[in-house]
Amino acid sequence: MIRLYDYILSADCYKVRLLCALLGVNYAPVKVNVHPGREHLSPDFVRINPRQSIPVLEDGERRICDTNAILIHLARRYDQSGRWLPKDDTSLDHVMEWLGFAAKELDLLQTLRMRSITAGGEPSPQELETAHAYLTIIEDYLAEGELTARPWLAGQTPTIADIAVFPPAALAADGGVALDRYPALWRWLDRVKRLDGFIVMPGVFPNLAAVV
Amino acid sequence: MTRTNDQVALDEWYAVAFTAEIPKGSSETTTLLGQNLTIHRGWDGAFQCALSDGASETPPLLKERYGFVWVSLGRPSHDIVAIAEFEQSGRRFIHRGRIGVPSSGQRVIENFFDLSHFSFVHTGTLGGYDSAEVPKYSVEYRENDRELWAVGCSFVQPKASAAAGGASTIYYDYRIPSPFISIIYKDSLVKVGKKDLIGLFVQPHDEESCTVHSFALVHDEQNSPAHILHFYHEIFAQDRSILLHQRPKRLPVHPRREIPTISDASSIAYRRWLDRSGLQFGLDRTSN
Repeated sequence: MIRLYDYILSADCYKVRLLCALLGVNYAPVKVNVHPGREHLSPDFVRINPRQSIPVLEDGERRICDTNAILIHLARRYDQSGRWLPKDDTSLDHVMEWLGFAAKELDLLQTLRMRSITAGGEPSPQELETAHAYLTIIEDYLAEGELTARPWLAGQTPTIADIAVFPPAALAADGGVALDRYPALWRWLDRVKRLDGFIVMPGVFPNLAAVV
Repeated sequence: MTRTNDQVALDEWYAVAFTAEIPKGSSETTTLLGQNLTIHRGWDGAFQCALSDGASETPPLLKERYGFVWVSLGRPSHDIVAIAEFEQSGRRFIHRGRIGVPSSGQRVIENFFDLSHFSFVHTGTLGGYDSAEVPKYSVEYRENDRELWAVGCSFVQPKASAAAGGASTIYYDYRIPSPFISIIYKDSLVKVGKKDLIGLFVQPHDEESCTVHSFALVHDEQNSPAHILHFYHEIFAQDRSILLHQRPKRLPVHPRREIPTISDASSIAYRRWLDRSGLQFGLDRTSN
């Protein structure tokens, strides 16, 4: 039995929901009233996760309170193909680098987004400059990848690195950070959307090529 | 920021906070119509409102109603909108939290009662690709033109609410009792013949940004408040990501700015109604 402490508008929770969908892993959601209830800061929730953050994944006896750790756990335990967390040194280096980038640098995009959604204000010029500097790192890497036949962040196949970077990047506009000047990023977002089993979250729209 | 001198806008009532979100003995600053305000809650629980940058002026009018704090910067000729269902028992009150939208309040209201986007923005919940047709509905002006209603609306909805088990045709009416307020009266899926209410109280900060305060009064004893809230936030965040990209941010009201279809009847009525109200704030009145 897998349980996911979840909030519909959390981009970190979406990373976990998305990987579960791609791997075909079923779970029972525990819906947390993050906004406006701030339940994740309550004493009851501190007993579940002292870091007062979501997502939290419970898999049998295990409880994991960190988004990257959850993605690694799911890939190791439920991905028979082994492609979502590759074992070869080069790919694994890339995966770990991007997981760190998603959790550290791209946290700014998620902070700006939740602040804007909860009526806390729009980004300052300094925040915008930093956000665009981070997006430019992704853009340049993906543009180079298009020239060297490396379509995914860690190589030839999608990995949990793509799953960790996709939500903050795809949802940047919700936080007031426009994605207009990142064509290689757009093409990569679309590749993710075409993955078998892909699911959306509010603010992420599906590829409609098969529909219209 | 500069306070608007649009008297039509100033003479309305606006929700500016949810009472339970401001603890006793504390204050919150906010902006309404370009005017910075301080909302203070005393230790006795009572609210006061002061202009942040004009201490010598008389303070704005303030009332508590429906769980929200309401303020008017002008001299309104009418009371806060009457919502009889708040006096009735049987429904659960859900505070849906404040949501910020970097667009005009009128864009938010127009999107709220627009039916044609359901299938494409709320795919799988309020609409689907196979049932995108908007059945005919009518538009009425009531209360001496003070209120705009879209009545007899219906739509095939795969999951009409948190309580929905499957697809059904849902009937509802939209009420727009002020340029910045809209309330939906929607078939309950739990109590046949009863209506659920969802209301938006828009607080315009300036002409191109606003905060949406909102509530639901629903017949639903099964689902937890968090479950119901997640459903609403999913819908609202989808709307928000569309609203971000609508240009111009101010709502155009000149007829030459539109190429409407019959399903846009309520939207066109809203724009004409805004036009003749004399309101300037948040509107784009140019003809091209």
